[in-house]
Amino acid sequence: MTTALEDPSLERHFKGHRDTVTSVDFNPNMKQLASGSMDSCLMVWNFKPQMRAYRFVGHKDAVMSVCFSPSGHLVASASRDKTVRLWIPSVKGESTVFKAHTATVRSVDFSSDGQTLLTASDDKTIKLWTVHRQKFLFSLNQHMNWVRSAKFSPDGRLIVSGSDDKTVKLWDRNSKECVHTFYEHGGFVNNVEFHPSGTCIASAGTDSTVKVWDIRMNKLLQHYTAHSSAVNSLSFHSSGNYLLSGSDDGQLKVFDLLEGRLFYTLHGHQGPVTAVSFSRAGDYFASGGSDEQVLVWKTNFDQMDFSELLQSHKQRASNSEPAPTVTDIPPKVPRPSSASTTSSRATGKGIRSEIKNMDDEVPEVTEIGPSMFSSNEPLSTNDDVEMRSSDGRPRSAGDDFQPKSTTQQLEQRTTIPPQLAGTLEHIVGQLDILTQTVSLLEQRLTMTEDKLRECLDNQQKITSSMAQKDL
Amino acid sequence: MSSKSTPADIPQPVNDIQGDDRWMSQHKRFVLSTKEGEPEVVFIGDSLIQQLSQTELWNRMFEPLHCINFGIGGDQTQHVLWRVQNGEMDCITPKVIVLLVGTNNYDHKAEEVVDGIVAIAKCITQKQPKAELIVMGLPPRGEKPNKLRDKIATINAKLAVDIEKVPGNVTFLPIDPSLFVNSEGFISHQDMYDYVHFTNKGYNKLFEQLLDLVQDLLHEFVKVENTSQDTDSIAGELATRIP
Repeated sequence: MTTALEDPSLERHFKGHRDTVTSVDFNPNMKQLASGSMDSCLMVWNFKPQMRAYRFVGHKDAVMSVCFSPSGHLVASASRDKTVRLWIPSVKGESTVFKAHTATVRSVDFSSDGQTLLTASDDKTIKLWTVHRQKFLFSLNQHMNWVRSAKFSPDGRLIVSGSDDKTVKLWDRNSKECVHTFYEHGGFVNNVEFHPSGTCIASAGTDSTVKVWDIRMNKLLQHYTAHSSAVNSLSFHSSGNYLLSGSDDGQLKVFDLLEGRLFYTLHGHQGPVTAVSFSRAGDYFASGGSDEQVLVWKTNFDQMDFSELLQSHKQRASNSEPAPTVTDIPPKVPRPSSASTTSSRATGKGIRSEIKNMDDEVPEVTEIGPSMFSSNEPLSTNDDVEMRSSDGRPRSAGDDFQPKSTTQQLEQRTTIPPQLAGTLEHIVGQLDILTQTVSLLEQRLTMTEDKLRECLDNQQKITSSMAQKDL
Repeated sequence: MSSKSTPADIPQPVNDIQGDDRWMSQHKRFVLSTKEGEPEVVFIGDSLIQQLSQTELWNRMFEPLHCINFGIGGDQTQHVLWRVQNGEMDCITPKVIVLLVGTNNYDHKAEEVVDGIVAIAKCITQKQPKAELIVMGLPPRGEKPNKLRDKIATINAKLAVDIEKVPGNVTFLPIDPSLFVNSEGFISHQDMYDYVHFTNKGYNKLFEQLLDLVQDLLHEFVKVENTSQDTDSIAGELATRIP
């Protein structure tokens, strides 16, 4: 099976909202998409072409945020009317409502076990509720201005929140304490998201920046200034390698977090893009804007043929000798699509490379592919330069794609363009290096153990011979 | 900027005499921002309001209150009235509106300027009945005592009386001239660098009282910790960062 890296494509185009779309979320069962809007309605769109969309009326003011429960049976919506509603997304449209805050509720999120609800509001508080019977659990009160966004970490132990007091706060859900505050001097924080690994968070600001912070070391890892006006919404791809953002400048941007640079810029909305979301698996993403439209895109650029890669690695493992060295690394064999973006979809937890820390000027060993040892140059030279494509790609419906460019050509490919092949080779090279490193480490460990055994044996001999002498 | 025949209380846009249409560009931008933002406090007026948005005071104390600034330099009462009637008070639902205008009405007598300001106040309260309107008194100008100062004093005195008569939530905030005018009648360039526009120091003096009033009306208080964050230098940043 040959699958080449492709550009995202527009799949569906939903019209029906009567005002700015504020939020979009996929149903984990991938059959529906929910969207909230300033027109006070929640719309649930069905992907099956014949099925109609549902418009849920009930809120008395703008819906600011929507979120599907992990099971897909419920949709939560947060509104300017200070309430949160839990809907069953069916034709009956039953819902239960509860007054959550004393001011506009900006954000709602389910924990990954579906038991707890997290709400953030203009009343400067963040509150946690049980889903069952919507009982109030506790509130987090340290923000000094509107809290625009609050999310659970993937394991549910941490909460991240972003506020107009220009801070992003990290909270421990059990101790209810604020464990760290990141200062965002540039402007208000519109949206915060957790990386799927739970080790990083991203924040979108009104100062047009997207920042990625490491929460273990509490420092800024990456800082993208590609947008030209306020960034409204962010979403991580399930692999953790891509970050999608929507901004007032009307563009959707996809950032490659491993390389630390802009990957795609998409135009599809007329006017500000207010909401973006990847599907749970990452194969689709949706966007909503002030043009009242909801667009659904097929990701495409995260496709790879994992089974072929596994085979090639099995081959490598059986061929390797006890002490592999750099010179033993086999030459690259032309493979049509040996691409791996270290996606965890196929196996659950693949080898996950660290997000590139752009503070580090020292290029890491893992970034250099094996066939690059002769040329001794890192693959990605310009990290922050926004790439513009000028090739005459056929455009569909006002979309504009910006493919990755400037990757070094390693070998000729007949089936896919050389630049893409180069990138794929590079990524596989990284994995190869990791595999080699691990086996090298194992060799060293074995040698060390043998040495230790030798020393112990020698010591025993010495003590026993000394004992004999003493006799 | 306007001809002598235009009264101070009849709405009138500014004609593009210079040729770059800046006034209309600013007005259109303001109208657009009413559709996008969610401001709780709106400032509208002439250059004294406009330049406020460039100060450090604005960033520190006013921005956290979700403020928006509709000041345009050189505006007279009839221009602000036109802007209010043509979209700058629509779509938004602010809690507080602050108005400061009148010092540029060179061609009008004191009574006419007061009529202009009152007309604006009436229009605003009609468009935004729920908001609290604060009408500021005009600050003095000129290094030494001069006839414009006298005119401003007359305006302020009459405004204090006439504003009470406007129906709705309107408050007049008087300016104590001795804030800026010293015992010999001089205004320092440290408060007004050109004897009409304010320096940072001057703005701090002028708006301290206003800030208290606005916070009261919003039932909000910007916490003291905020004011110590001096973001002008990185030293300030480092000092306030919690280790």
